[in-house]
Amino acid sequence: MAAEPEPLLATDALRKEFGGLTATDDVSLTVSPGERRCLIGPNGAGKSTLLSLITGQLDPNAGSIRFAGEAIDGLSPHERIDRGLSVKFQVPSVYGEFSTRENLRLALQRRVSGEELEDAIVDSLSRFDLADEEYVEANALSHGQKQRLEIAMASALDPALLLLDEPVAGLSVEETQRIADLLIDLNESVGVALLVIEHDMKFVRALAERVTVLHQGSILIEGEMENVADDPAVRNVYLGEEV
Amino acid sequence: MSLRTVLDGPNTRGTSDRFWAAFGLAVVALLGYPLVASTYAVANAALFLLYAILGLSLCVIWGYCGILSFGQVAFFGIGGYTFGIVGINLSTTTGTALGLLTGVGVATLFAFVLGYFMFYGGVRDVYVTIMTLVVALVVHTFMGQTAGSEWAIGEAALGGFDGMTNIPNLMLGGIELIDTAFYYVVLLVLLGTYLGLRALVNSDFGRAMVAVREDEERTELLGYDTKRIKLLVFTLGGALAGLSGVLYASWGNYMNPAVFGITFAALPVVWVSVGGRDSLLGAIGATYAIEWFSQQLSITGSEYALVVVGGLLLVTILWLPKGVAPAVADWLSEKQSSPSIRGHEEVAD
Repeated sequence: MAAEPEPLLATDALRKEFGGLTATDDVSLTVSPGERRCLIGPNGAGKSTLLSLITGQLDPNAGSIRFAGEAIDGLSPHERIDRGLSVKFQVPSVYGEFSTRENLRLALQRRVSGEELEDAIVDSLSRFDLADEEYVEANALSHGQKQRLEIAMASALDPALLLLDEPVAGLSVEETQRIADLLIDLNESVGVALLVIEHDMKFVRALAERVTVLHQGSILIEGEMENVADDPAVRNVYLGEEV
Repeated sequence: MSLRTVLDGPNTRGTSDRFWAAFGLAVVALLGYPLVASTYAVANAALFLLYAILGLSLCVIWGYCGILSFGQVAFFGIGGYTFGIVGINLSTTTGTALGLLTGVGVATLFAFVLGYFMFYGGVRDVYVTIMTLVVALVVHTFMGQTAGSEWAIGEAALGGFDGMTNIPNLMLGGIELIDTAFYYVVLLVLLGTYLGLRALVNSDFGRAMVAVREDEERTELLGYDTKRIKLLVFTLGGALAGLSGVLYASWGNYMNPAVFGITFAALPVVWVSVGGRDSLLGAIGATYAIEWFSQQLSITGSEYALVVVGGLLLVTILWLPKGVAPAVADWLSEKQSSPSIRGHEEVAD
């Protein structure tokens, strides 16, 4: 086998404690360039905390993070974004009082301007099927439209790694499938790696090449979905029993 | 790119042809005002207009970037005192021009340093408000105890609570700016400030400013350096307040520590709240109207001017929480769009 390519993202023994609770317990996770990875685990497993550590919204108590060949520990969130990270929050986090267009523009103007910016806005509106909502205030969008808008904004930065926290929570089956198709299309067309937290197993099956299961702050198992799903430890965790 | 594409955008309400026609008329009226009004009335109008620059300084940082500073008067006062110190020592054309530059420069620097320590020190939200107010009050106390003769810089005595007297008039191009000339300069500076801020808030940077106001964390995670944005906007606010203070010192030829006091500190907050936080024109209009009104009350012997102004603030917050200008704009656009089919143009509001 050829030598492993250098991972895009690598956390090394990352640890985060809140008082007596260890939310992230020595997590060493790697994501390869262009990979589609899902991060699953029951509530309280520490998935969102791990994401916040990667984006720099939280500082770890121990451990380190490398991204695109560089240590990013201590960098502020916007500096990490500049290096090719991008994030979609768990709660749809768009600017409610801005129109769809203005939301997209705010993200796109980070890298293009002038006519190119106009073109990019139009492209993005059509790609994420939001063209009819161009001038609609984001507050007035449906939940699914907001989710798509935020994914559009996060991908507008042209990241190497897109972090998505529950992108299909609360969505209908059709909307869920639509988001899965969009993300796969993004991944295949521009090669962006995806690290997705999700509870919807159907979505995870559709999207993920590899799955990492977190439980009580640490990695329980990692592998392809079929193998992971059949693992007795994972079954125990999801049935709510102690392993 | 035409001028209108620079000045119009999602962050200003008045963007229609009708708005700009009305705006043009208002400017013509203000330009013509000295032709019909007494020297005394023109001098008062100049004061209200220069206060409007102070109002704008708060409007841009609070209304557009979400930073409520209760201490804009600190930069205003520092600008004015600095102009006085330089002007008294060098009361020539170049001297007062230098005083203008130094006054604005020192106020800007002061805002930058204060802003740097606040924003990079993680001070946020209401703590910024408290800290800026405290800074103004500390300067107030400090300036109050500068009565002794040892508190003089060159010829300029700070004067404690009695204040600094004999500040010269600003001179530009060999012309001493008094009465009508001063009025016109203030009007032009205000006009330039207003148009400049319109262009700013509708630019890429302005959109990012408003994004910080709406959701700082989301904006940081779109890759914007939100601390730097806040620092730049706060510094700009300090510069504008300093400019207003320089004009004030030249207007009255006098500065005293009351400009750093809590009563005066509250006024910009009242002006901007009443006018509408995110309306530049609202801030200008409200500053002018409130100051005019409160002066009328004082002239007619009422001692309740401030109580009335405070009452006005309460009424606005209860009935028009977004301020007068946004309410008027909403009303106008409803009136216009309901019977006609021109709705699309108003979408940019």
